[in-house]
Amino acid sequence: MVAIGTYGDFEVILVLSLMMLIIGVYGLVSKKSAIKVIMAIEILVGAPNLAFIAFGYAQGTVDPMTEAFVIISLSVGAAVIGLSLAFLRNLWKHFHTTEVDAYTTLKG
Amino acid sequence: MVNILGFDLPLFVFALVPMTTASLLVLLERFLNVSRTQKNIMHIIAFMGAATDVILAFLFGYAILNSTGNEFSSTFIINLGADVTSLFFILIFTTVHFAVTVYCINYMEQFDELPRFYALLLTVVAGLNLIALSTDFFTLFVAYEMMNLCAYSMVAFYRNVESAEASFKYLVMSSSGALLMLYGVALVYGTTGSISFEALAAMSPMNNLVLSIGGILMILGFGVTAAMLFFNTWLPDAHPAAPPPAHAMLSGIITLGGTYGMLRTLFLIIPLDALTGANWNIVLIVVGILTTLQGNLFALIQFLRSDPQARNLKRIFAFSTISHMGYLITGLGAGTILGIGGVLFHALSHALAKGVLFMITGFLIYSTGTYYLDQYKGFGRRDPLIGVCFVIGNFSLASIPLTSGFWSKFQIILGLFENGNPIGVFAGITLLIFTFFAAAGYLWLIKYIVFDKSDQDPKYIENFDSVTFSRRKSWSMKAAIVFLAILVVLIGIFPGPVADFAIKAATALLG
Amino acid sequence: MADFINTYSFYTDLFTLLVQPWFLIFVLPMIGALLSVILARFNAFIRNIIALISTGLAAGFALLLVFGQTWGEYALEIMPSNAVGVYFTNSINVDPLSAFMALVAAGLGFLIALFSLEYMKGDEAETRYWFFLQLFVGGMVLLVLAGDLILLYFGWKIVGVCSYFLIGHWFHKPDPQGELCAKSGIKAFLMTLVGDILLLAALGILWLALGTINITDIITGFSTVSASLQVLVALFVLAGAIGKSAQFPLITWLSSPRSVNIDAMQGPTTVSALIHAATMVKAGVYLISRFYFVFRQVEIDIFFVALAMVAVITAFITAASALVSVDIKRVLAYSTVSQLAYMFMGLAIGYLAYSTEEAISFEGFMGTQFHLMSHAIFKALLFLSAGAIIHSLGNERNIKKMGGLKKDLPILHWVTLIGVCALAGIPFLFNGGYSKETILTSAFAFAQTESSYAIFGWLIFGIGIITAFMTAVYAFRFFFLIFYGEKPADLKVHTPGPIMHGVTGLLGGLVIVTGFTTPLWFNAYFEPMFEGYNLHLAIIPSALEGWVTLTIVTAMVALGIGLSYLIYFKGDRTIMPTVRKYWILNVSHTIAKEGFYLDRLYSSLIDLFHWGNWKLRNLQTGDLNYNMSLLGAVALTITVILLFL
Repeated sequence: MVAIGTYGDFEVILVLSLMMLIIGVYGLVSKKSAIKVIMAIEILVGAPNLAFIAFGYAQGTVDPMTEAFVIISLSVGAAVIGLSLAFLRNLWKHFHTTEVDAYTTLKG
Repeated sequence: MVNILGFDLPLFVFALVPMTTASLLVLLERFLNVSRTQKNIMHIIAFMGAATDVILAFLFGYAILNSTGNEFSSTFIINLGADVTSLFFILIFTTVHFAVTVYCINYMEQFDELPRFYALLLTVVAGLNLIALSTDFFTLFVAYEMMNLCAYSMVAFYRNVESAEASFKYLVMSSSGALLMLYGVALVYGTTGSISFEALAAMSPMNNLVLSIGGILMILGFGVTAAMLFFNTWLPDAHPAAPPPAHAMLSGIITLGGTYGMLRTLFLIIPLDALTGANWNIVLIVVGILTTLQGNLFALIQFLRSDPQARNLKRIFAFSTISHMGYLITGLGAGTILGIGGVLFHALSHALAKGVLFMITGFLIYSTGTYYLDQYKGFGRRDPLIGVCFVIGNFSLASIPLTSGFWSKFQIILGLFENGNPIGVFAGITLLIFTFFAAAGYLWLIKYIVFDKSDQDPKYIENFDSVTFSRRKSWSMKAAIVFLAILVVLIGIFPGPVADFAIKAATALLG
Repeated sequence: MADFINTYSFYTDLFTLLVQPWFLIFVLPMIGALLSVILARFNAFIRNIIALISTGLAAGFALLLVFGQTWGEYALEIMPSNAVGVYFTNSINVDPLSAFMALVAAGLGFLIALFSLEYMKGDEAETRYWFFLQLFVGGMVLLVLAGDLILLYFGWKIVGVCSYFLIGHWFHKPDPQGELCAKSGIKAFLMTLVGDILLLAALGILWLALGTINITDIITGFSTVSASLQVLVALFVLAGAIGKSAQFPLITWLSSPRSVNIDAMQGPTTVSALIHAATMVKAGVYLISRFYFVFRQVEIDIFFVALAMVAVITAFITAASALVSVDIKRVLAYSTVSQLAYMFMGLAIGYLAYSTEEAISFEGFMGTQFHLMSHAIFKALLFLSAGAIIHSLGNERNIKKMGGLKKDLPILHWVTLIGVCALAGIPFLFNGGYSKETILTSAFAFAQTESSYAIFGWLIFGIGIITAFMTAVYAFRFFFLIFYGEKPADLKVHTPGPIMHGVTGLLGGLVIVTGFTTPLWFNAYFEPMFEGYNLHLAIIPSALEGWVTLTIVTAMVALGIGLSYLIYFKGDRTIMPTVRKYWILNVSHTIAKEGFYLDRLYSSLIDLFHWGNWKLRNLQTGDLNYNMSLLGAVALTITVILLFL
């Protein structure tokens, strides 16, 4: 268990990860380009990983569990990004645009 | 380890069997060119995989119910563990998957990508089983993503405009949900120092803002898959875009992946969290009710639409899925033994009824080649078997006696009453009132499919007749439909064992 | 806790259960329903015989229950057992009230099944008809025999579903009739669903407050429930009864104006006779009667008054609508609702009088049960005769286009006369006269007491008398228009067969026999329910109130018949010229004919709902950024609520 505030340097990383989370969500909410949306997801993938690293460091020593988590979750993230790019290519075939505004044939 | 018929099998076998089968199918696709006989080989392999899985699940169920201990664990490749709740979910997953696999024998005949589709179905079930068996939140996340990735691919399976758009939306929303959830797990890890279920269950509550945010992020993250209020805007787009057998899986069991995650979070993280723990019940109840309302109202909107995509049967059922997921969330909010037992029971009866309905929808799509309700008029009359099963499925969703849906929804509502909180009572009555909107939609569907006259383009009628009255073209679809419909009615008449099982699981969860 | 004679598990004791008469009585028709579907593949005749045997055996077992008089409650374990915490024990309760209702349901079920043998012959979907008819009998018996609210609700919904399918039975007929049938089923189901939902809510509240849903336990424990919950439960139960019994304001599913033409009368006439006159619509009356022993102990003013007002309003407006209906079935349907309202009046007296005048209260209750039985018999008779008439005229339902049928259908003429007399309430000879009088006598007696509710006694008595007059008018209008006057030239008549005549004749006999015999055994029979209290239900009115009521009612009925005779027998068989002359008559005629615009009200409510719903559609834009913002907004709201509230 960790009392936050005792380890000065890990807090910086934690704040960084929080910022990545917020930036990722901001990108998802506001960016019109599908590429940018995928980039936002990529940023979101980074956020929990960074948090894991920070918390692993905060345990006092470096926790090997968190490293394993991060590596696995990075590969999962890579799979997600790969698939999303494949879907984007598929979308391009049908819509000839990467603007997410255009992808609104399904609604209501 | 779990002793099945004298063999000590690791729990990982529930994921191993479908994954091996899936790999085998993909490999075979590389080495064989697709012809009729080879398709039959694929069918047999997929069927064997599904059957093995469901048989193992039932034997395991038998073992776990007859053993003294409530929990099993095994370390083979990864740490896995099972209690009665996991088992209940595994039984749902494998049963529905089995029925879907049988259904696919006829349905997927038309597609050359058949082995890939089977592989996706199998991997989804492997992922779901791993979700149910995982003993820590990180394994749960990985299994969840495994299931999700296959689910996205299933939605994208047709590669047409609809599925391209829907799968992208689904991917973006669902994976951002999963990542939010992972962030929550990280925060939980940071504050408690552990994410394994066992360690978390043994901890004492703490008053920590970071942990609270972690818990909130986890539940919200799972909420995307569990179709929470407005977290579900992808669902009515994504589900109809998938092939109907996949739709049955998506709606019946893949959403349960999220519900299961919420259930675990609710029983492991929330009790630790002294800051927000007390309010969660109310929030879940309110959110669940609003979800139900949203699903019911939007389903009714589909009947009013007159644009080209109007009255897509699959879209109507997708909204109905949302409303039922709302019931599950409300039941989780009740937090009582009956409520949680009701959630498990309703998960089962919803999966079965939706299985019946999507398979029938798929049958109609397969035979007519169109998606829209107006072209299906009177087909339930032309083939009474389809009509009767359609009525049974709809009645189960509208919770009418002699079907399983009655008992399960009833149990959730009693669970809400049992909560004792005035909000619980209010929620129970509100959910009952929403039944009215739901029933209106289902009855209207029955009218279209069963009561109306076939006045559509004769070519649709011809196509339908040529499929439904040909045993070769329809035997497996009808077998799967009838299998699930009989289950629905049997549980409706003899609810005791299932409800007992669900309540046993809930009792174990609540301690 | 309720005392159970024996406890049976639905799973382990299934074979023991299958020799218990109280179990067989509702399970046999359900098994018969399945069997007749399976056997229909081989032989249509066997299917029909199965249906007759199953309903006949159910009727036989019901007789056994009534005459065996072994009252008691049997526990039936269907849901989770004690091992994991007992939640509720289902039970079957055999007491005078439930056995009596079971006899009415199964007995009439059997007779109508017999009638259907001829009536439904050659129907396109006969198998479906027999399936749902038997399932209905099973469900109805389950409803009345249920000792706990869940089984009651189970039966309640089963009969609702059967009603839905049987109303829509002729959906395969060419449009517009097929379309109307399908819509009528949906309308009936949804409108009764309003009541069903609230009934289930009442069940939940009772379970929450008392930890049990066994009716015996509820009777003993109800006074401990908090006052606000008592009111809620009582009103919800009343709503359930209103929905099922088609009382105001949910009348229109049973009978709607001609301009709407979507109602339960679209089903086969046998179905109307069995479900929408004799048994299912009585479920509401049964429910309120069952809860009589619960609610009477506590004074829930709102509930008592609401019950009385609903009954009074319904009785009047449906009688008015029946006066101007021209559809042979709708006259009877409106009259059914009106007569059901009489039963609710009797129950209202039962409730209102209990705290001050027990004797009057019991009389009201007993009068209701009596009227329930006599109405079941004479209305089944009338509907079956109407069915036979429609059948023999080749689906003509407009009574204005009938006339002079006495010569062609002499037997039907006489049995209809018996039914019509009973409906009008002619005393001494017909059961309807006895029972209606009992209710009105209790109302009159109650009005003269010093109870603070006495004003409702006057109200019920007054409206009851007026409705009795109107009933006599429309009953004989119905009779005269069909059987007398000029026979239209284009009317082809073919005489119905022996089964139809036999069944209607039998019912006609029952109308007369049950009239003067019932008071002889009714008191002794129901006494166990009142713990030895000596009930006052006599063939000859015993007190002054009885004679006064009898005189007034007889005068009103005579007046009504006389008026009807003058207009529809002697006169020019229509009141339209007179009505057109005075605008006030014209307006009220139109309002009554349109069913007091209830249907118009509901359709505008639905339109409003659709309008609002359509606006909601804008929430589902399909735009990804929008979806994500919505997700974010909800997530943020939930977080803020959780962290800061």
